[in-house]
Amino acid sequence: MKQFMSLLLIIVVSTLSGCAQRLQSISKDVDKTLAENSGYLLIGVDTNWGLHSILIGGDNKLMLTERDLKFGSNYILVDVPAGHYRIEDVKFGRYVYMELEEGYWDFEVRPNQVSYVGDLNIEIQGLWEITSAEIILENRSTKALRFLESSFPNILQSRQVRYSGPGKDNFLEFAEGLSESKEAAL
Amino acid sequence: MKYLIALALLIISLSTHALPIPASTLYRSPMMSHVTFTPNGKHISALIVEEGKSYISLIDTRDKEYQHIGSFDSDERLSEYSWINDEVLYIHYVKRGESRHVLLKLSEKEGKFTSELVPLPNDSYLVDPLVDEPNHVLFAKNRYDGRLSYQLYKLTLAQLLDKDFDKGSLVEQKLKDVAFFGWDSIRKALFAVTVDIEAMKGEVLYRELTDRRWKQLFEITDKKVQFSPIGFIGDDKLAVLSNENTDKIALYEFDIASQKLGKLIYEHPKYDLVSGEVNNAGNGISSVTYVENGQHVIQFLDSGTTEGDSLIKHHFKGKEGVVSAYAPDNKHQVLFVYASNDPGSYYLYDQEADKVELLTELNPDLMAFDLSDTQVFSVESVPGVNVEGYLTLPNQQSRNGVLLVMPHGGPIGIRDYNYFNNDTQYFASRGFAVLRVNFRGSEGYGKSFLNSGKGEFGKAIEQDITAAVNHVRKQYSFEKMCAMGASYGGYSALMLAIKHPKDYQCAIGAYGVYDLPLLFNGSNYKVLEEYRKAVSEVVGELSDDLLKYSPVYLADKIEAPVLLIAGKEDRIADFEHSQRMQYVLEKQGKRVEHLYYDKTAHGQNTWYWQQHENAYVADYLKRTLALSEYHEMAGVKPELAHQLGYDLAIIADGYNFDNKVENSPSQALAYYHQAALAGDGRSAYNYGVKLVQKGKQLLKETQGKQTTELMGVDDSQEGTRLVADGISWVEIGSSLGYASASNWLGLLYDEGEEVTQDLAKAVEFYSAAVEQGYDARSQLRMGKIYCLAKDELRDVKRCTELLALSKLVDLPKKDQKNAVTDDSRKLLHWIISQLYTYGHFDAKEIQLIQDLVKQEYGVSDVQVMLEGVEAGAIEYSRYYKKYRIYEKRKRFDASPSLVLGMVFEVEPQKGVDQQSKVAFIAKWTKEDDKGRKEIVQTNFLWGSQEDTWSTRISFGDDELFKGKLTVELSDLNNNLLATKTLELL
Repeated sequence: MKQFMSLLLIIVVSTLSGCAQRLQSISKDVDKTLAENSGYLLIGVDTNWGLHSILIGGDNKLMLTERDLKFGSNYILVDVPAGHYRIEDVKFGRYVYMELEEGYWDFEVRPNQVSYVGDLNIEIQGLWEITSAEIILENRSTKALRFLESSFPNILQSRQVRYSGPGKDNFLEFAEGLSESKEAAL
Repeated sequence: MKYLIALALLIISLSTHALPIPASTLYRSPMMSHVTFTPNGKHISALIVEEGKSYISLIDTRDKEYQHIGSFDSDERLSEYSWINDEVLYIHYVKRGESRHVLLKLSEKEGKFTSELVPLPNDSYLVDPLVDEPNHVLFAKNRYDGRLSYQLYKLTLAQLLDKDFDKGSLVEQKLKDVAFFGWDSIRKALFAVTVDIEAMKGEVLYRELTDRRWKQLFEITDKKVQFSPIGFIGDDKLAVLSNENTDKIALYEFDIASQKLGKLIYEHPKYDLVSGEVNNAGNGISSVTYVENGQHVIQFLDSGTTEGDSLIKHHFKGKEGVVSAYAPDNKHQVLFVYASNDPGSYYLYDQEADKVELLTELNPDLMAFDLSDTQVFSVESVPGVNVEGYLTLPNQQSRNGVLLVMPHGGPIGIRDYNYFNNDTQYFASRGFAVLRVNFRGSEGYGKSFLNSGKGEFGKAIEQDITAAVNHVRKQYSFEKMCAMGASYGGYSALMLAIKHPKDYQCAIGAYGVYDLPLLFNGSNYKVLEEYRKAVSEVVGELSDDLLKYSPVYLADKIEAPVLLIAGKEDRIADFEHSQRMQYVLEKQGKRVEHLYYDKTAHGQNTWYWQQHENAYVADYLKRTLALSEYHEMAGVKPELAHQLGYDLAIIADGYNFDNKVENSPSQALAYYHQAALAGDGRSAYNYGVKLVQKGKQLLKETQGKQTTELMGVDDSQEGTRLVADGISWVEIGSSLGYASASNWLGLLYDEGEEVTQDLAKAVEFYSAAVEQGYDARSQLRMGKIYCLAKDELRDVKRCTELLALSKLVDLPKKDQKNAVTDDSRKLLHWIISQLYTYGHFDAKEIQLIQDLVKQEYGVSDVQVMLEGVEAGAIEYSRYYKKYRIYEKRKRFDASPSLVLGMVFEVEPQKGVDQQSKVAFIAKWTKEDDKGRKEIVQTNFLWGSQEDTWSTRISFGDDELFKGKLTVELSDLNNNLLATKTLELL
């Protein structure tokens, strides 16, 4: 859901969950053998403010860290245990975060494939300090697919890529079919 | 003062041709809008746009003379204005998205107006000027910061001007969450709209001004039926437009007490009504409006109100018109008259003389063009379903044999009209025939026609369009067809190309949807039930069936080349739609081109980017359909060709500058070239400079290297050729009147880097630049040449005349052709230092130069002595607030980060005013390890004797050297006052 935040809703806390597994985007295009019942998670983060972290809850606690959450548009590809997850909190700074409303930020990571869950678009207002923020999880499958084609062609070749964010969308499957039919024709 | 009528007549006197209309002529603000009379009826007030700037202006009704009384900056837009009395005007405008409210106080002296601006609080607005109660107004002001809840005041004009709300009477303060107050001046009733955001509920209330009790008019609910109140027609009766009981929208009485629709006042047999007017007595309806053949038709219901209608018919045969404003005495009216081939004109009607007089055309520049008529037709798409179409044919001489099929957006509840349409005329003037169709789902043909388009994406809608296409093809022959449209029109364009692959030679989809299931899955917001429900009503239920009507999944059937246009921030038709379409077409080896805009949502919202988009589409059509250049069409003269070149230059600028379009140096170069060929001087300059830069880069890369030969030409030769070619294009730019090109050439021959130095030629080009309106720098550089030339060009008197910037500043504004900028002033400082360093002048000439310096800088030539002279590494001290030498050594390691300098003070002299200004010349000379000397920098320093003085120098990576660096300081009489030498290791 499109989430708006006013200054009043910014919650100041001392700590958030400390037991989440810190994730770090893989940088080498080598399709390693995944642990049992694991898959790749692919998420885009487009933010106009460098973030501190994004907390993901559900079957496991995961945390995207500031290393992968810099200003601009970034894709994060990580291998995680398969399961059902949801984006819970976006931390703008060490003590300022936004709790996302339940029910609109769910996704699934399926075993042995690349699960694209959407592009998290974060638009923050404020010059010196954050006054408001708008967050939306958008389906930009084509951009994600082009990212994999250019940065992770080996992983793309050996794994299926499927959309597993909010809603249901079979475009990536269709696109895969296009590539296969082209290869077959060649 | 100016005369509107004179301007209009001048343009009318030009003959008209069937010629391409430049985008910049079509896509622009109307010359006049927001027209009304002043309370005394002596003037018409209007928003007038002149040379791109907007003004509030007064037009004298006797002689049509007009004068501006207020102006808007480029980031300000007028929303509305009202006359409170003849001296005070209330203006509401928007500046960078924020509402601003001001009063304009006018004074008149001998027919000339002067004005004073009084800002009002941003969270307030004028509800009504209460014309029946002179000197009083109804004014609303928000009571909280950050939450909408207006209070209503009755203020005297003096209280409003003083913003003294405390002294005014509070008319309404108890009603909560008021988002809007309104005033019915006929019934003397107050309206209020309250909005409870949390409860998602709203109410429309009313009461008499003196009454305290509000009555509910109706509750705002999410009903599908239309319910629009027109106004009071009785104590408890409203006139409302509704389709609750009928297929079409008709006019009913509404009983407030029972909250029910009553008597049907008027229903058109064929069309929905779109508006109505309550008569002046407030007891009935004077007119209703519906749309027929694409035109708004006003039908008067009461006798005596057909006057305006018959007036238009009598004076303007075959045109439509409305009365835009009535003078208070009703003796004058302003009429706005328009047609499908006429964007409209304002006329002043004198009732006593029964005479109309043109005030201005909406777009006077368009009068020079032959605008195309539109034919309205009806065709039976399937038995029992008739659809209306609009066909705009180009002039016979300019026709290019292409039919553009342009489905409208929506598709439900939107329609095309037979009014003047910029896009239609833009393409028709280029030889295209344009077809627009009000297919099933379009507004204005009844509820069942509107509903019959729902869920018909790629089905009945395209069937209707194709029926209209077949209808016009039976009457006219077209060699090629292209489907193009925006939003739903973009989808439809691609579906037409999919369904009829042999018929369409191209398809252009702008801001379109191409994957129907994605409409339900575009984001976590779009998967919500209420959102999906709304989408389902228009598109149909989400199912795999939608894939059969989605261009993304049907791309293999497309044979025509496709252009996709999209906004990267589009959240209506998500950018992802276009990305998918492009991806799939590319994967299938189809011909696809894209134009994606940054910072753009569901379409363009500025004239400039509308010009860009349409210029690009026209160019795409030309390239794709192998049409001839628009600027080479029959009858196009050089001046128009130049303007058409500007269309191409806009495309080039998109690729060249940081803006909404991704940069592409090769595309920028190609389009500047085309624009230059069309005669655009700026493009010739840009193209030429880019070629020179490319050539110089090639020469730099090949310097000292063995060059590779390709096709008999090596890189070095190619570099030289590019430089020469580039210079000749800049010369074309100069000859086309582009001032920057002339100045650039002046510099080229002045400095003699890429060409042999030729000061006479430099003067020639600088002189052209001055004539063409370049800023004062061309004149200054020309002056420098006259002072320092060694041959017959030398003319120190002329030089000092040209260097007199203050004379340029003192010119009357209308004569200021060459702007004096900060860069001009900096250049003058440098030129003065150059004259003292390199000039050889006799005593008379020295005097001329000293007089110039005194005049421009206010300095005296008093003899001064220096003290505290130090040289070394220099930095600015925030503590001392001046430059200071922090390393007094004589030897330094050469480095780009090293800044060297000299500081000094002026020794106070007895009997000399310490605040009087003095000036010095600093000259920096380097001497390398081989003893070669070169002046590397000159500075002109001036200021008060009490000032702290410094001169500084640093060297870039490619300028570093080892050797001595000497700084010499002289006064304006060339007396050497100080010298210091440092060594670089």
